[in-house]
Amino acid sequence: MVESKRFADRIFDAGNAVFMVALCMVMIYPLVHVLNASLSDGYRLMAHTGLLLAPVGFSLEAHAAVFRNPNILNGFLNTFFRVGVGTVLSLLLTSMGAYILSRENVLWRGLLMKFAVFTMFFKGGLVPLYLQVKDLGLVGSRWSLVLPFAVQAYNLIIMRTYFLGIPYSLEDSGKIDGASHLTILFRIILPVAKPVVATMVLFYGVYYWNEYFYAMVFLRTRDRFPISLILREILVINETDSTMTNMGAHALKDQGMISDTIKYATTVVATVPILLVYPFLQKYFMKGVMIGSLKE
Amino acid sequence: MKRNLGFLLVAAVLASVLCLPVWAGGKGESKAAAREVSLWRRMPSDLTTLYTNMAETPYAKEIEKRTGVKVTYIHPTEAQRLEQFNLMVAAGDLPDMIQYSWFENYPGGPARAIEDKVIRPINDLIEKNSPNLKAYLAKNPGTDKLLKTDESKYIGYPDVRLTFTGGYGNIIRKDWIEKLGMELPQTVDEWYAVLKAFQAKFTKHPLTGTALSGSRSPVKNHFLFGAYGIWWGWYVDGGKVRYGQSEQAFRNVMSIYRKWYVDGLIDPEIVTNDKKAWEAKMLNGQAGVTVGWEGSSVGQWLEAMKGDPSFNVEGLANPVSKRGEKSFAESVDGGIGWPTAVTTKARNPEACATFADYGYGEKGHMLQNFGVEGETYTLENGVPKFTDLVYKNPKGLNSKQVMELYLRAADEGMIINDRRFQDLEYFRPQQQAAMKRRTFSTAGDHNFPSVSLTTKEGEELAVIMTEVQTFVEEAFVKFLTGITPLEDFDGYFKKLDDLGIKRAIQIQQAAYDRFVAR
Amino acid sequence: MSNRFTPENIRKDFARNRVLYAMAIPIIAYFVLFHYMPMYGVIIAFKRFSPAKGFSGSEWVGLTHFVSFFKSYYFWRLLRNTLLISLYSILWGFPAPVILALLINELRRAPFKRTVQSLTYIPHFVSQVVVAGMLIEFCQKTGLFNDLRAFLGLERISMLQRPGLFRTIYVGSEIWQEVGWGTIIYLAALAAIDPQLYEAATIDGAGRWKSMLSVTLPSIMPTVVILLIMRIGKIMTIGHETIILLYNPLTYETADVISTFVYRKGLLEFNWSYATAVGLFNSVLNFGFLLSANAISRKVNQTSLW
Repeated sequence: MVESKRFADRIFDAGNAVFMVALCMVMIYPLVHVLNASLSDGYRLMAHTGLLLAPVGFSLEAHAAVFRNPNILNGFLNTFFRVGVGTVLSLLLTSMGAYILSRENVLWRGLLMKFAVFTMFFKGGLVPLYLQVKDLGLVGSRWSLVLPFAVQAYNLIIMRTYFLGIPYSLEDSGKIDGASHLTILFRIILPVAKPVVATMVLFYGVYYWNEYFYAMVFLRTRDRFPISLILREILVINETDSTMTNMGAHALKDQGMISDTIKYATTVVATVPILLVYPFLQKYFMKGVMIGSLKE
Repeated sequence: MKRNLGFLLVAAVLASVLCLPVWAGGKGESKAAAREVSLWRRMPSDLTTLYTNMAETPYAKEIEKRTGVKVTYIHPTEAQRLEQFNLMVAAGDLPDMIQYSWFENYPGGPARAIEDKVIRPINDLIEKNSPNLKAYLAKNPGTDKLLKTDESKYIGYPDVRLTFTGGYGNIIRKDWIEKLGMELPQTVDEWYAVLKAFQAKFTKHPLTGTALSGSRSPVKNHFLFGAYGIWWGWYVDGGKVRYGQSEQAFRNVMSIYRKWYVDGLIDPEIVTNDKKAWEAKMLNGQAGVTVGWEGSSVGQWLEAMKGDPSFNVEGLANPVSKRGEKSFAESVDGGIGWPTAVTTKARNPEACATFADYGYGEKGHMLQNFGVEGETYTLENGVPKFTDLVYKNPKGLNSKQVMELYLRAADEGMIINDRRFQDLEYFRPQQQAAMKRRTFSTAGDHNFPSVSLTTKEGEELAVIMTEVQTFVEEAFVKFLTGITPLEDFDGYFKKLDDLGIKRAIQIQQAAYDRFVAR
Repeated sequence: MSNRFTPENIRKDFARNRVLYAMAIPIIAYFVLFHYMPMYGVIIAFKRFSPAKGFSGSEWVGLTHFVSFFKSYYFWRLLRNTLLISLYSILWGFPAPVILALLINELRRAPFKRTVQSLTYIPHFVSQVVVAGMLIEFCQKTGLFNDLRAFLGLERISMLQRPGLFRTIYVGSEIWQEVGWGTIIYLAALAAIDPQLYEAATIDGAGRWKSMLSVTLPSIMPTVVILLIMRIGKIMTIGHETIILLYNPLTYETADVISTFVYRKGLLEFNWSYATAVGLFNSVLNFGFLLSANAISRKVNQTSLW
C-alpha cells in the first residue's frame, strides 16, 4: 500500500515539475520578446513576424537612446520616492486598520468595515478628487502621488482576513504581560504575519511603481513624472492614429516616426527593477513562520 | 498609560499630516511679468524622448528672441491628452493660451468653449494687435469663415493647412508593376487588373491594410468610394450634407469589395490587422498595395528596405471611374487645424497676440516653415532648401525630429503652412510623383467643414452616431467577409433609418447651412 | 436581536477600546478626505455637466443619461457581453491562481520552487499594449496558435475574427497575465499554515492528497472565500483597454462591452455626465452583487466581510 502511494507521489511530482517548466517558458516569453525587440534593429523589426526568440539585427541603439532621454533619471528618482515613502506609509496605516478590524468586542467594527468597503464601489469621479487634492495644496507635489492612495480597501481586507487567522493565544499572552495595542500589533502580530506583510509590500510597492494615470492627473511638470508615466507616453505615441475618418477632419499631420525598439527598451528599463524585488521577499513566503511564536 | 498617550500623539500627527497643505508643490500665483505667456500644447511626439519641455528647443529660444515674449510651455501627456484637457477646464486651471483639437474633442467645438467662458473671442486682438493675421484673413475669406463662429466671433489663432496635401493615400509596390510591364492603375478596372496580376505573380492577397474602426483603412477611405461619387463618413455634395454609408451607391461599392474579397485580392486578415501586421506584410512581400502616409509609411519603408534595391513603393491617387477624371478625394487638410485659443484667464492678452501674430508675418512665416536661414535652410534662387542639419543630422536625429526642433510645419503651431515645406518634407522622387498625382482631385469641393452644434444638437448627434457607427462598422465587415449576404442590403438601409441617420443628416445640414451663411 | 448600540454599551466600548479608535483616526481621515468628500461628484450623473458652470451650476436633467443608456439599441447586448465575459473570467480565472498556488506549494525542491514563483508572475508586469500586440500576431492565420492547430490537424483560422472565440481569447490572455501574480496571496496564506497540522494529519495516515483536503484547503478557505466575494463585487467592471486592443467589428457581437461602447461615445463627444451615469449604474450593480455574495457566504460558511 505504501509502495503504490509513493509511486503515485513520484508520478505526480514528475508531472508537476514538467508542467512548471512548460508554464515558466510560456510565462517568460513576453519579457523575452520585449527584451529581444529592444535589442533589435528598428527597420528589421518592422518586417519581422512570428516569435522573437533572439534579436533581429542586434543593436544597442534603443537602450542608448533611452538613457539619453533626460526624463528617465528623474523618472526613477520620482518613482523611488513614491514607492519608498508610499509603501511604508501604506503598510503602517493598513496594518493598523487590519488590526482594528480583526479585534473582537469592537462595537463599531462592522460599520468601519462597511465604511471602507463602500469606497471601493462609489467614487466621486476624477474632477472632485482633483479639486480636493488641489484644495489640500498637493497638486504638483510628489505627495500627491502617495497620500490619496495610502490605504487601499482591498488590501485592508486581505490583511484583516489574515490577522483573523492568527490564533488568539498570541494576543492573549501579550495582554497578560500588560502590552498595549501598539505593542501587540508591532511586536507580536506583525512578526508572525510575515507572509501577508511581504504580500502587502509587493502589492503596494508594485501599485506605486506602475500607477501612471493619477500621476498624470496630479502633476504639472515633467520633472516630477514617475517612470511609469514616461513609459506610458512612449508606448502610446505611435498608436495615436487619427480617430476621425470623416471627411474634412483636421487630421494630424504625418505620423511620428519613433522606432518601436524605443518602446521596448523603455519597457525593459522601467520594468526590470521592480521584477527584482520579489526574489528578495521570497523567504517570507516559506512555510511555518508561526512556529517560533507558538512554542513556549 | 504612557504608551497609549504616545500613540495618540502619533495618531494626531498622522491625522494632521493628512490635513495640512504641507509640501505644497504647486507654484504660487505668478504675477504676469510684462511679456509672459503660458501656452498649453502637446509636446511634438518625436521629441518626447529628447527633451523635458519645448522651452529647451532651438525654436522656442529663437521665437522668444524675435518676439520678446517669454513663453512657458505646458505639455499634457499624449496618452491622456483629452482627460487632462477636460480636467484642466473643469478645475478652472486655465493657462493663457491653449492649442487643442477644439473642433474634434471639445463638445460643441470652440463656439461652445466661448459660450462656456473657457476661451475668449479674439476679434479685438486681431483688430488691434495682430496685423499679420488680419491682413491674411482679409485676403482669404475661406479661412476667415472657418475661423469664426456662426456669430462672427473669432475663435483663436489658426494653423492654416494647405488646401490639399496629398500626403496620404494609396501606396503600391512600384517594382512589381514594372516587372509586370503594366501601367500605374487609375480606373477601378485597371486596379482590378493590377491586383489580379499581383496575385498571379507575387502573393496570394495583394491588398492589405486594416479595417479596425477608428483607423484609416484602404477599404474604407481610399479605394472604391471616390470612384462612385461617395465617401466614407460625412461629406458635402452640391451644398447637401451626405453620409456615405447611407447612400445607395454604397451598395455598389460594397458588392465590388465583396467580389475582390472572394477573389482573394483582399487580405483576409484585414479586419484584424494592427499597424505592425500590415506594415510587416508590405515590407516582406506578402502584400503589394495599401494606404499610408508619404512620410511615416513610404519614407520609412524606403529607409528600412534600402538594403534591397528592388524594393520600391510609390503613392497613387484614388481610383476614378474613367481615365482622366479627377479623383474624388478626401481633403486631408484645408482647414485651420488645431487653433490656439486665448483663454478667459489670460493675464496679458496683448502679449499673447504679439507672440501668436509673429508666425503670420513674412519673417515669422519663414521661421515656422523652414527654421533659421543659414542653419536649417538656405535659399537657392529664392527657393528654400533644407541643409544637412535636417537630412544628415550630426547628432543622429531623424529629419522629423530636427524639423520639430526648429520649426512648426511638421507638427502644429500658429502658422500658415507653406507648400514648399511639403516639397522638402517629401523630397524623394516617389513622394514628389505621388503629390503630383493626388493634386489632380476634387478635394476641397466636398469637404465637410467643422461646423458648430448647439448643446442639444451635439448630444443628440452623439447618441445617434455612436449607434450608427457601431452598426455601420459591423455591417461593413460582415458584408465584406460574406457573413451577411449582399441581398440583405435593403435591410441594412432600413436599419440605418431606424437608428436615426436621417435626423443626424438633418442636424449636420442645419449646422452646415449656418456655416455657409457666416 | 436586540440593539447592541445602547448608550451604556457605547460608553463601555469606548472605555475599553479607546486606543483602537484613536489608531483608527488617521485611517478614517484618509477615507474621508480622499474618498467621501469627493463623492459629491456623483451628482453630475443627473446633470448636464458643463466644466465652466461647475458642479453646482450645471443644469439638472434627472435620469436623462440613464434613460439614454438603457434605450440604446445595443444596451442588452452590452450588458450581456459584460456579464458573460465577467462570468467566464470568474469561472476560469478565479480558480486558476488557487490551483497554481497549490501546485507550486507541492514542489519539492526549494530552489526550483522559488524560481517558478519568480517567473510565473512576470507577465503581470508587461504592459497590455505589448501583450495584445503579441496575441494579435499569434492569432493570425500564420501565427503560433494556428501553427498548433495545423500540428493537430485542424484548419487554420483567423482567430480574432470569430465572435465565438473572443471570450476564450480574452480570458485566456487575462489568465496568462494574471495567474502568476494571483498566486502570491494564496502562497502567503499557505505559508501561514501551522506545520504541526500536517504532522498530525500524517500521523493519522493521510497521504498528500488527503492532507491537502483536510489541512490545506480548509486553512486557505477564508482567504479564497473573501477574495471570491470581492471578485464578484467587480463583476460589472471590465476595463476597455484590453478589449479595444483585441476586438474588431466582426466580434462586436460578443466583445463589445459597456466600457468600450462608452469609450467610443466619448471619442465622438466627451461627456462626463454620461460616463458618470453609466459608471454609477455599474457601481450599483456591483455593490448589489457584493452584498448578495456576502450574505450567501455568511449563511453558508460564516466567512464574510461583515
